[in-house]
Amino acid sequence: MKSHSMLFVSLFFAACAAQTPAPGTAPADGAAPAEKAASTQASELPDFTLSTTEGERFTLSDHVGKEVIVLSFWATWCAPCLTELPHLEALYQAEKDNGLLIAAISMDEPSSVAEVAPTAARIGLTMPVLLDTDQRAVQLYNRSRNAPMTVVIDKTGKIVRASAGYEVGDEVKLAAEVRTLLK
Amino acid sequence: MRCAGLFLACALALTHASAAKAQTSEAPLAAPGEAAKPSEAAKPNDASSAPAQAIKAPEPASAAQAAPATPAWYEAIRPEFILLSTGRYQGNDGNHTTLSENGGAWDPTGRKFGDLVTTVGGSLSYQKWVVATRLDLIQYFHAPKAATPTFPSIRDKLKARYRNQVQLEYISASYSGRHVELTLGDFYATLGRGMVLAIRKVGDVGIDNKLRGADIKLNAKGASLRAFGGFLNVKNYEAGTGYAFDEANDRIVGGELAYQYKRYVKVSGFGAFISPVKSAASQSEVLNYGAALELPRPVPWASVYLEAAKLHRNNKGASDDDGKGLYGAASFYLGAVTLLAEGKAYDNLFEITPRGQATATNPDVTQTRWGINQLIAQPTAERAQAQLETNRSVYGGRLRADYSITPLLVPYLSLGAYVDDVHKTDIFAGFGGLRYRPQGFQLVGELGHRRELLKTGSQVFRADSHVDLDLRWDFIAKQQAELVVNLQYSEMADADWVEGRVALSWTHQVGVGLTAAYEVYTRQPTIFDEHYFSLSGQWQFMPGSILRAMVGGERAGLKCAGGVCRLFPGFEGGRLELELRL
Repeated sequence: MKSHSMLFVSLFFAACAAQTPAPGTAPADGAAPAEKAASTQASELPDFTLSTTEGERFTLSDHVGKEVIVLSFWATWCAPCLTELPHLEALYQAEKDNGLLIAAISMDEPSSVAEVAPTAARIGLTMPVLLDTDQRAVQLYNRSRNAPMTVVIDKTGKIVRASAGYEVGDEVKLAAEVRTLLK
Repeated sequence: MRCAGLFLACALALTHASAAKAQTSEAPLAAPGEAAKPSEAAKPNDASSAPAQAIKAPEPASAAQAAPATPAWYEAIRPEFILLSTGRYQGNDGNHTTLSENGGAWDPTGRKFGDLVTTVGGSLSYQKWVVATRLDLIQYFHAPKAATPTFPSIRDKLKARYRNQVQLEYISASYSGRHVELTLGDFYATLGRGMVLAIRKVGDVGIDNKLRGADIKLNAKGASLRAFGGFLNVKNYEAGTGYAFDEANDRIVGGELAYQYKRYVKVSGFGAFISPVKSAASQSEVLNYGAALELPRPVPWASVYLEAAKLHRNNKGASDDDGKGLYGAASFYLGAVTLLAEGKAYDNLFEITPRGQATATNPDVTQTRWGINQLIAQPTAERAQAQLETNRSVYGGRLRADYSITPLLVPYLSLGAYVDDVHKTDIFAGFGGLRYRPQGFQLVGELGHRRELLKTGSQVFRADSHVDLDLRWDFIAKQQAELVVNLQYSEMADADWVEGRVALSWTHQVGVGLTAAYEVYTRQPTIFDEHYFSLSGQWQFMPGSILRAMVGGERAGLKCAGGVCRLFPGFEGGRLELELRL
C-alpha cells in the first residue's frame, strides 16, 4: 500500500509539472502574444472542460483573462434557480458584447439531466449551458453543492464573488457588480 | 466535544475577522454616485421584459470603499472555510421505522436526548491546485440505553445508533489543467447516465459516496480519456438516523474513453470493476460496461442521447447475475413547444450496494433500515419525486411537452407508460402543471397521478396522486411571502395514506425569515402522531452564513431525490443550526 501511495504521488507531481510551463517559456502551442497573456491569466484558476447542451465543449481557461465570467450553478429541480436564470439571461444579452460571459452549469443528476436542454430552451437561454453530471466544476467552484450558486471571475482571473442562494433583488446587485468589472 | 467547541470558537473568531471581506464581496462595486446605465439591449422585450426591468442602476458603493484591502497571500491561496453545526434536542429519537418492522412495536427507550453534528470543511487553492478536506464530528448527550439487558437486539441497535464519532469524511488534492485533471484522495465518478457506475452525492437523502484513490483525465482536441481507481468511502454518519457505519472499502476501478466531433456527435465507452475487500458468503465481483452515442444538435431543432449498459456479477460459486439496460432521450425544440421523449428498457439491472462489514454495532450499509445505497443509478424516466417500488426490470417511456404561451407562462404535460417485470404490473403515470412567473410573483402548480396495476386481475398494486403548489409574491417592498404545498395520497393493497407538507414563509431582504409548517403522514403504524407542526426562523447574519432555529415536528416518510428514495424517521423537538462560510 505504501509503495502504491508513493507511485501515486510521483505520478501526480510528474503530470502536474508537465502541465506547468516554466517561467519565461513560450506556450507549447505557439500562441500569439495576446493569447499568451490570456493563457498566463488562465493558469490562475483550476480548469474544467464540460459539454454544453448545444454540443460544444466549454473550457474555462479559454475565457479567463479575456472576459468577466459568471458561473451560475443551477438545476432543473431548483425553483429559485429557475427564477434567477431569466435575469441572468437578460444581463448576458445586455452585456455579452461588452465582454461578459455567463455560463449556466447544470448540477442535475443523471436521472434528470435529460430535462436540462428543454428547460434551458423554454427559458430562452442563449448563454452556454454546461452539463456537470460528474460534479467536476462543482467540486472546484461549488463544493457545498449550493443551488443556485454564483461565482464571478474578473478579467484578471480573480474570483471576486461567490454567493449562494437567490433572493429577489440579488440580480440588481449582480448586474451592478458585473458592469463595474466590465469598465 | 472539545473538538467541536474549539471549531466553533475558531469559527466565531474568523467570523469577526472576515466581516469586512464579506462586505466587499456583496457590496455594489460601482464608484460612489456613479450609477451603471442599463444597456439598450436590456430594454424590455417579449423574451425578457421582467428581468430587464429588474436589472437597474446600482446603489452607491460606500461600503466597498470602506473595506480594507485583502492581503496578497490571502488572495493567492484563496482559502475557504465552511462550518455546519446542528444541535438538536429530540423528543423522538428517530430510532423507529414507520413500517411494520419488529411487529410494529416501538422501541421505548430512545427519547429525550441531544446531539450535536458538526461538519468542518476547508480548502486552499493556488493557481490550478486545490486541496480540500472535511471532518464530521458527532456527539450525543444523554444518549438512551437499553432499559434491560434482556433485549439484546435493542441494546445493540442503541449502541450503533448513538456512537460518538470523529470522521475524516473527505480529503483530496487536485490539479485541474487544460489537458490534465488529476485528483489524489476523494473524488466522485459517474459514467454515462449512471447505469454502469454512479459514485455520487445526493445530499437530500443523506448519500455521499466517494472513491478514495486516484483519478486522472486527459483532454485533447475533442478526445478525452479518464481512468480512476480507489476504495469506496461512504458517509460514515447517516444524517437521517444517526447510525454510524464503518467504511465499505469496496475496490473500484474504472475508465472512460470519449470522442466528440464538433457539435454533431459524441461517442463514449466506459466500464467499471467492483470488488469487495473481504471474502464472506455474500462476496462477489461486478463488471459493468457500456457505451453512449450522443447527437447534441444533428439538426437545430433536436438532440438525441442513447446509452447501453451490461452488468455482470460473479457470485463466486452461486449462479451469476447478468443485467442489461438501454436508455434513450430525445429533445425537440419546435418554437414555443419543447418535447422530451425518454425511454428505458432494463432487464435485471440489479442493485449494486456497498459491501458493509456488518456487526451487531455496525449495521451493514447494504441493509440499512432506511433504504438502499446504490453504486449505480438507472435513470427513472419518470418524475424525480416519484416513489418507485423498483427500477430493475422495467421498460417503457414518457413524452413531456412544455408550451410557452409567453416566456412567463408555461403549461406542461407529461404522460408515461411502463411495464414492470418484477411486480408484474402495468404503470401509467401522468402529470401536468403550470408555471407563471411575472415580476414580483410566482405560481407553480402541478397535479399528477401514477397507477400501477397488476397484470393478473388488473388490481391496483400501488396508486399515487399528488398536488404541488408554490405561490410566491412580493407583497411589500423587500418582503416576500411564499406558500408551498406538497401533498400525496397513496393506495396499496394493505394501506392507504396521506403524506406531505404545507408551509407558509415570510422573508425580508435584510436576511431574516420565518416559516410555519404543517406536515402529515397517516400510514399506519406511525411514529407518535400523524400530524406535525413546526415553527422555524432564519437569520443570514453575513453573506453565505445563516443561523436557523426550529421547534416542532417533522414527518417520517420517503424522501426521493436524484432517482433515490429513502425512508426517513420522524422528528420531534428543537433544532439550532449554524452555517458559516468564510
